[in-house]
Amino acid sequence: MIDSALEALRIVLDPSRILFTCLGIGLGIVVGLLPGLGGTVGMSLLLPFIFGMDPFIGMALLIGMVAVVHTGDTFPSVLLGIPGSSGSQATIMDGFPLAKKGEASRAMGAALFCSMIGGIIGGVVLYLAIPFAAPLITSFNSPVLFMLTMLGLSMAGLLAGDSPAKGALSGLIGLMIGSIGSAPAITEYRYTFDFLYLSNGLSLPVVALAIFAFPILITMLTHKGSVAEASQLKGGVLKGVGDALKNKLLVFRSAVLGSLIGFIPGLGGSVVDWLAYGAGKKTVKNSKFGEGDIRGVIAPESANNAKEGGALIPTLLFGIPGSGTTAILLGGLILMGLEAGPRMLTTELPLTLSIVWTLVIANIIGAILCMTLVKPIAKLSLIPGEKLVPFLTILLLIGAYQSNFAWGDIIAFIVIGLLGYIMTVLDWPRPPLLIGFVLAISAERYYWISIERYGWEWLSNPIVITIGALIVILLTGGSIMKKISSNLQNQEV
Amino acid sequence: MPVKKMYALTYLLVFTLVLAGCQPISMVISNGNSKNDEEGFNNDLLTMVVPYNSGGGTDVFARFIANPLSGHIENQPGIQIENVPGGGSITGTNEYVNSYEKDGTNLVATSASTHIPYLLNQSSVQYSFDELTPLVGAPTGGVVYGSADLDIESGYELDQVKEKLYYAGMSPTGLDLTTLISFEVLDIDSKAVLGYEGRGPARVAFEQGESNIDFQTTTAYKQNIEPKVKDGKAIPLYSLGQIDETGEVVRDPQFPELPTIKEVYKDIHGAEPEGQAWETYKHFLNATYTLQKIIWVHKSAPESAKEKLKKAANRLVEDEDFKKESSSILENYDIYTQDDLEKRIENLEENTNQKTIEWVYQFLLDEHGVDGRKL
Repeated sequence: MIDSALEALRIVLDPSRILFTCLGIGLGIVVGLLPGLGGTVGMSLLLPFIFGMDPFIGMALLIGMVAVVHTGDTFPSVLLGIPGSSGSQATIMDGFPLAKKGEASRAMGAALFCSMIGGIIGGVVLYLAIPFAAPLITSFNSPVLFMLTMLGLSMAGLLAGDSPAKGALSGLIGLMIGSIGSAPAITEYRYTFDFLYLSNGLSLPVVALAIFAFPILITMLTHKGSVAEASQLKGGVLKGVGDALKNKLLVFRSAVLGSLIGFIPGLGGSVVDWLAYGAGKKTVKNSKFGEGDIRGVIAPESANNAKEGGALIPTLLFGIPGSGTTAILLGGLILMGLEAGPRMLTTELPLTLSIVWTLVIANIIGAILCMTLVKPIAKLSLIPGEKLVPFLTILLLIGAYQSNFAWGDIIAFIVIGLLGYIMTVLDWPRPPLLIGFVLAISAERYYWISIERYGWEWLSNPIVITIGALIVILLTGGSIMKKISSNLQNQEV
Repeated sequence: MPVKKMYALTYLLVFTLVLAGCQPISMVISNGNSKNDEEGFNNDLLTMVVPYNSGGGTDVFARFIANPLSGHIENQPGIQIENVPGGGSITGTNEYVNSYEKDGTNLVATSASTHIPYLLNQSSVQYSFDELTPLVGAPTGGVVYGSADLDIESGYELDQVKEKLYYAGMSPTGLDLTTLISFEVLDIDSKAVLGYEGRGPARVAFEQGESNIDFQTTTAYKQNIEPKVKDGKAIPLYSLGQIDETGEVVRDPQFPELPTIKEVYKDIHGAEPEGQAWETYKHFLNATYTLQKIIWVHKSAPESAKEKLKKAANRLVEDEDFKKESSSILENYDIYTQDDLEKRIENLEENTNQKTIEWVYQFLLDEHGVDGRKL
């Protein structure tokens, strides 16, 4: 396979293809950079052009774009506290406080470097997974997938902050919002109030933007003044890169986690940044996550780029899209005269390998390009908030509107935005809501299928029991550890 | 300062309301302009509404047809694709019949999942095949296959299956409906586990052993299942078949060696299938497979415009280059000539009767607990 990998590299490095990769990278960075627009928009923009293209060139364009969206989307997350795309919300938690301290460049440096490493690791995972992808994917049956969604939901508990009760409630609200629309198995509509708009449920970009960006707009208007409270920007890009290097293990861990979650079909790769953030928070020492800890930027950024590599495995081999972006990629393949399926590993192997290479190369070019942009763009954090708001409002409304091109998108954006604002005022954690929203349908789907197919028998499946035990440890582990350590401290005293 | 926060909120609300306010105004204007004159058609630009997200099967079909079709229309106007997703394609199709100008410059592409809600008389559907003239239509096929564990050689032995049958599907009111009715016709006792995200995940469920009887449409079957048939892991049971001009079920041209459901029935039961279940099956097979993808124009569009479009559609059928290029997207099926297509739609409309709908409602209620009247 190494021979064919080198052959694929030669194909990818062909000047005409590199040109298209760069075009894709350019577009990817722009849609990532603009708050509210993400990979799905980039894909829809490119789709009309790839019709009838040589698959290698078409793929260079599409994958070049996908690879860097989560590199570019770091800018608004760190500088403005607004998610650049629905995959970079967790970066806000610590990136934004760092920007407030005037350390935007440092956060950006760390984030971009981690995005690059994460993207490369994602590419490598894709490459390594090729030989065992098929047996691996078929080993996730519905009960296991259901337990994995439960594991994801219990991660919400880690992000709850000080009050677990508020976190649980927030997660439940998310589950409820997620259940709007048609039920997965029977044609039954819930909370739709006879609006056709609601029959397909709310879309992720609308909810994610509303819940995180809308409250920020209001705070920007009320607080006056710029994002950075320190008037001078300190700490350069290189300092951030240094931070990332110091936390090599965290970068690696998060990236592997990211590509694994992307790889599991149907789990909703869109919360991978939160899961990595939660896992990072639990596993590092002396965590000051949430107050501007650079490691809180490193964990999600390593994971969200790595996810794309993992998500391509089920997409290319089984035609099962792991995210909205890969769903459109499937259509793109057909337009170029290809079909996702086992043939991607046999007759079309060179193309699959060229995708791996494009991922790696695009991540490197994208990160370097963004690093040169950090200095000018970081000055955004010095601009008074009220001057940015009109610009951002329009961008965010466009971002919300593009999910269905319906007025319902904007109404939903405002209503959920108000909910988000109320939650910030009351100091309720919002990440659990988002995780609940994303996992609601999957959880219901796989629970329903498990019961329908296996009755209660599935509870005795050893993998189900293992994941169940893991969830219990995750939920109780924290408080038990706290008790033990406080007991120890008491004894010492 | 709470007061200032209130100001900010009001500002945002007003801004959005103003934006929202623009919508009805623009709609009023576009309706006001709809003089059904001929001029509109000499435009350089036609619009094709696709009620699905970009990248989906119907979107790909529409984008593929757009260019060759425009090449056969006088003046060769460009055809621009407009995605109006949502509501399982009902939103976009409703919008097409309600608010797009009926001057022959606007087309719409529909698919089986647009046709089923119409056949089921869902309350949210505002479109009707009566108000539309079909231009281009293409079929797809379906093959039902089983796992090697069932211990049978072909569909003819379906009555000897001892294992419990599990079928993995998406929803009882989607494309699965035709397959589920085919089980009913053949009296196959299978447990339908619904709720999977798509045909892809359902196929994975088959590979895991979560299901042991499944169906795939033509390309997916050829790509993913035929290799398994060669390895002896899957057995083709029967093809759903195609409906011919006379309304009878015939073998699928893509699977000439596979018996249709009709032949399997005859072999097992010793008689031709008949009765309401069979009539309903044929009706749904026609609307969801034989006429799976259709491009339409408003029926009330000016005759001259419609004539031009019809002519273009007929010329497209004869276009050899198109035939060659389209083989992968159309799964090697031929598109119908416009006259043929129009006749087929007329037949479909004639066959739609209360009895069929009542039968499906009863079937959905008894087998899947879905009340069709409330959809």
